[in-house]
Amino acid sequence: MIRADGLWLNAGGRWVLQGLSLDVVRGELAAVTGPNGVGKSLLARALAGLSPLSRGKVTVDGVDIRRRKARRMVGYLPQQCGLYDYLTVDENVRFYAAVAGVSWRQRKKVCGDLLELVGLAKAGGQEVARLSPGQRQRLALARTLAGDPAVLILDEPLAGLDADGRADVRHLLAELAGMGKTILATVGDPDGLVLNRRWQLAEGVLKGGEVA
Amino acid sequence: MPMLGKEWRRLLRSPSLPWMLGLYVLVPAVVAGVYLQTAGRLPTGMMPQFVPLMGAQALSNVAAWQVLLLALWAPWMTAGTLASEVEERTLDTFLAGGGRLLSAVAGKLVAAWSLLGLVVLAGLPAFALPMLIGGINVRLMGRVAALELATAVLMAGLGVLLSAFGRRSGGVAMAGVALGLMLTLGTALASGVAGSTSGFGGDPRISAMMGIPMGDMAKEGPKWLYGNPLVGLNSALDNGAPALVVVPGNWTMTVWKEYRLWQVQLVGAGVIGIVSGLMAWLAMLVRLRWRRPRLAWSRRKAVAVSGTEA
Repeated sequence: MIRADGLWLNAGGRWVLQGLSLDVVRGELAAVTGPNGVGKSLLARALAGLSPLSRGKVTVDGVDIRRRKARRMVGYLPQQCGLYDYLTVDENVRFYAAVAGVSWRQRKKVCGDLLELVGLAKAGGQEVARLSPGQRQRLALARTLAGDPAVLILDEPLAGLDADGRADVRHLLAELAGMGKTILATVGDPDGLVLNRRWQLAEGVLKGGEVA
Repeated sequence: MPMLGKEWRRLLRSPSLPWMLGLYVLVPAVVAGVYLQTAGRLPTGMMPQFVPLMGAQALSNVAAWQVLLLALWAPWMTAGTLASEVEERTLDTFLAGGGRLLSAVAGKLVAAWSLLGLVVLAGLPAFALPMLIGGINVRLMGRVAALELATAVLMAGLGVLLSAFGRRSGGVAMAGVALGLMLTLGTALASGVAGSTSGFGGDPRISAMMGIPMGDMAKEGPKWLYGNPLVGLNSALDNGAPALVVVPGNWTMTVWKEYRLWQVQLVGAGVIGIVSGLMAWLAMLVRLRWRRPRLAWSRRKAVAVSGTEA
């Protein structure tokens, strides 16, 4: 579903990715682990088509990620959530649904379904600035799903959450994988995530990757 | 365009909006009210001579205040927008979700322009008081309002352009306000200083506004003063000097035409505003596509979030 071939990426004069390749098939929940500063976030950005690569190619269902068609198949969750604090919970999801091309008539239903899925149905009118870190992360996931992407690239989805928050997100990711979404998460510590595939990022290349 | 709606919400929910709107409408109303009261107290014999002058003076003060406020407010409103989207990583999610960079820049610019257009409209009642005093007509009022709108378009465009280069939204917003100050009060002050040392008087109205003695002045200030919206306003109010000669084209029969400064500013501000938006888009394209990512930033953020170092 999402495939990276020979990615080379230079950051701050250092080759963070050195010919890295990976392949995640449909419906898999995969993770790239590694210590802080090893380049996991840059890998996630590169897979989402946001970091300029020196060499290599990322494809989604065979389509180059630099094309808009491929980007619309991908939902990207950055480490900082990427939410608008001045919008309400509901408005955040609706905005991203509109960006993803969901029609005006469908947006209300899509937004309601997604907030229901992440357990924020009652917080629709609440300002994002007032949400707890766990609620923010769940809202960010709902926002990522707004365009119904086939592939989710999640950068540290468990970071900064307490035990309950991590359990919620783990449960949600398992549920999404069960719904047929292809998920690739970068995590420092998988912390109980039930993974189909796991890589270790070190020295710019991936190790492991066996099917669990 | 989703970005337009989102930006409208951001601007309308900004805590500074009620304050700025209050300053924009209420201060001119109070100033014009004072003029109205003074005009009413004039002896009957002096009224025909002085009332029209007072009306024009009131309009001049009201418009100068509003233009100055717009020149500072518009870049403050727009200068941090793209920088904050980069800072908060919301631009990443917007682009990764299938959004186009051009629609992000255009949405921000159009939202700022339309809101400032409404602000100019909301400020029009402040012109009603000078009209009550007398000596001004609707055409003059329309000319002033158009110049205010042009100032807003120019400064909002320059603000968006600045935001494409900035890294921290707060710093870029301050730079935007500094740019507004430089264009208005800065050029006026420099003109006054140049006038006091070299003998030319600078623009009379600006010199008077800055409290600089006019002395034996030449009719025109330095050419760079033509970019100052307050000088354009002066030209709109007086319908007088300075006039600029513009050559529309190098045709077989060269056409020379004389335009007033406010007319040139009106067109120039619109063109520069739009070109600034396009340049902001190009600058962001270069910034996002060709600039090397920085690992150090990513590592600092990672440590801040997880609280651990590798």
